[in-house]
Amino acid sequence: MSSDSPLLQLEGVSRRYEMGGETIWALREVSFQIQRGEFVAIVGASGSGKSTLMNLLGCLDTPSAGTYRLRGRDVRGLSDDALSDLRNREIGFVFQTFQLVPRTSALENVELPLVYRGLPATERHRRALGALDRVGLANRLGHKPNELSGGQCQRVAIARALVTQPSILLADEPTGNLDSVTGREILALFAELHAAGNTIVLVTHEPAIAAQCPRAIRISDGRIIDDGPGPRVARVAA
Amino acid sequence: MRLLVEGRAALRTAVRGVAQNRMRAFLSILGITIGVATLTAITSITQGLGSSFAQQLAQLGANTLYITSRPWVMRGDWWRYRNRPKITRADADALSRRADLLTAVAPVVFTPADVSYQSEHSLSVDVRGTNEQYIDTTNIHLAEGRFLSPIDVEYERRVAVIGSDLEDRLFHSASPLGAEVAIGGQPFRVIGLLKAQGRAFGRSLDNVVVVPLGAFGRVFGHQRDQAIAVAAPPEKLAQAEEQVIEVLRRARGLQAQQEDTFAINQQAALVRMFQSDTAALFGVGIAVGLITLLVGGIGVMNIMLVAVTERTREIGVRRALGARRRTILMQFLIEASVVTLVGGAIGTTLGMGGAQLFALTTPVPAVATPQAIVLGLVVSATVGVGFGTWPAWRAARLDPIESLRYE
Repeated sequence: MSSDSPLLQLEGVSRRYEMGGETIWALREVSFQIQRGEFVAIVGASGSGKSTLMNLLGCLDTPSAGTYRLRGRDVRGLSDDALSDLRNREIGFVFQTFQLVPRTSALENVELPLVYRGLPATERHRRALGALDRVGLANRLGHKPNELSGGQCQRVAIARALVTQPSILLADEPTGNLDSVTGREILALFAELHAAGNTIVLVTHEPAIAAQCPRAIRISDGRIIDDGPGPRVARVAA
Repeated sequence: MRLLVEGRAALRTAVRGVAQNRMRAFLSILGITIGVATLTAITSITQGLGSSFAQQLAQLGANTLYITSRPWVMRGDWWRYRNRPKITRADADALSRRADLLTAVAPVVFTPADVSYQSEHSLSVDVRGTNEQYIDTTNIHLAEGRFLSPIDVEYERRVAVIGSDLEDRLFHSASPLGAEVAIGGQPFRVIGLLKAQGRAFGRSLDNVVVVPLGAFGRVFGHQRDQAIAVAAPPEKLAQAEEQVIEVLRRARGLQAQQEDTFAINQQAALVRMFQSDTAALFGVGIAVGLITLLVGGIGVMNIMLVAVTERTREIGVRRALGARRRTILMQFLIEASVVTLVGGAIGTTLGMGGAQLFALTTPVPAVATPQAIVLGLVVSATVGVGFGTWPAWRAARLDPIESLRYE
């Protein structure tokens, strides 16, 4: 885990599914690296394999073949508990549908990953307040998800992803359920977080969003077909 | 540490879940509540019955046989006994003369009657007409004065030995000995006081007056079915019973093929009957309670399965945020236990209330013991964990990716 090794490193990663006796290769021989502090879009049409890739990157799934190293550590062969702990420490998930726990205040939602780390209430509270303040929601602590707008929900979700100070923020179509104005605000927030040193991987099917990222990886039929500066990759796709 | 933090968070979620979904919680705990209420009530009532019965029996002598025309315990066969002749003075006389194993023979008649002294009245006093040997067939003890003498009985004197309730109610602080009380309107002189015995079956055992049999007859009439209390040494009780049967059959001129026209009762038989009755009641109560708990448990399991399905995405999110399988398992087990514990707490309260109500409206007392409360809560928590395990296990086994995508 030396500091000059890539944060994320995929080498020949494949993922297959058995469906009704048929083998489906969702990912074939995917290799790339992401360095600390990068802001990368993974762009592809639906069914391209980008969700599978995101699940692998997020340690929700493990490769069928090839190696995935997160901070130099091979995740293959890790137990379910070890993967859970890895997600808790290294990954901050942001989902398209926000995925806040219903009937639970913004503050408690943000505290949740810290519960799974076993932090005492006062410490959770302090860190969650900081994270909510970071996304501009310090005045909505007690609000429940149904009392918040879509954009506010996504900000709570981002705060929840940030609160553990993870190695990567992994965002799956984070603007997909938002109107364009709010979507732009959320993207601006990601850009801001990136500027502050966070590593961000953003999965999207929209080339326009990929175009706003410094780097984009284009995926189709389970293979990487392009990897380069966001605006260029997006232009080729569009 | 982590487990503790997770457990506390799960508990908070569970309590909030119950509070936010009261109707559902109410419906799912109903079975548990009824089951625990039944168990608690049955336990309290059976314990109350047991203690009151033991007390009641204490006043009947352990070595005493009671001869009556019909047995104390009739089990749907009362018609067999309906034409039996009354127990009479002749039966008692025959026993006194011929049953040499008996140490005491006391014919007894009872009636409720009013007793008064000057301006004080005591209603429905248990008036007993008997002889001097009665005191040796029971556990009553004299506090002051003397019991009936053979002369009192022989000459049918109007003398009375009174229980402590009467002493308190009629005489306040003055000594009753030598005073003249009216029993059924007739004057009797108080010669003795009985020691207090307390209460059984919701009645006082001390609201009693003992008078000579003949004097009783002159006030209340002679045509009464008697009982005969007889005492024998404990080691000879069985032989004494044989002898009583033989003497009475002969006195009544019964042929060999004829049934007895009298019944011999004893405390032991009563205790056995009581024990088998309460055991049956207890058994039925426990069975009903357990079946209700089973049904209630299945209800809880059903609700928990619905909850797991409804909250599939939430489970996926929690897993993505770092919850381990056992964290999810624990969370749902805690939720199931909170639901059943709420049901158990309500059930225990209802059960105790029901038992108290039963105690107030019937002569049967109920004893609410701390054990019953603990039992109720332990049983309900066990049901929660027992029936919550499968849903919780299902929740824990969910694949995080599938769960996150679940619509």
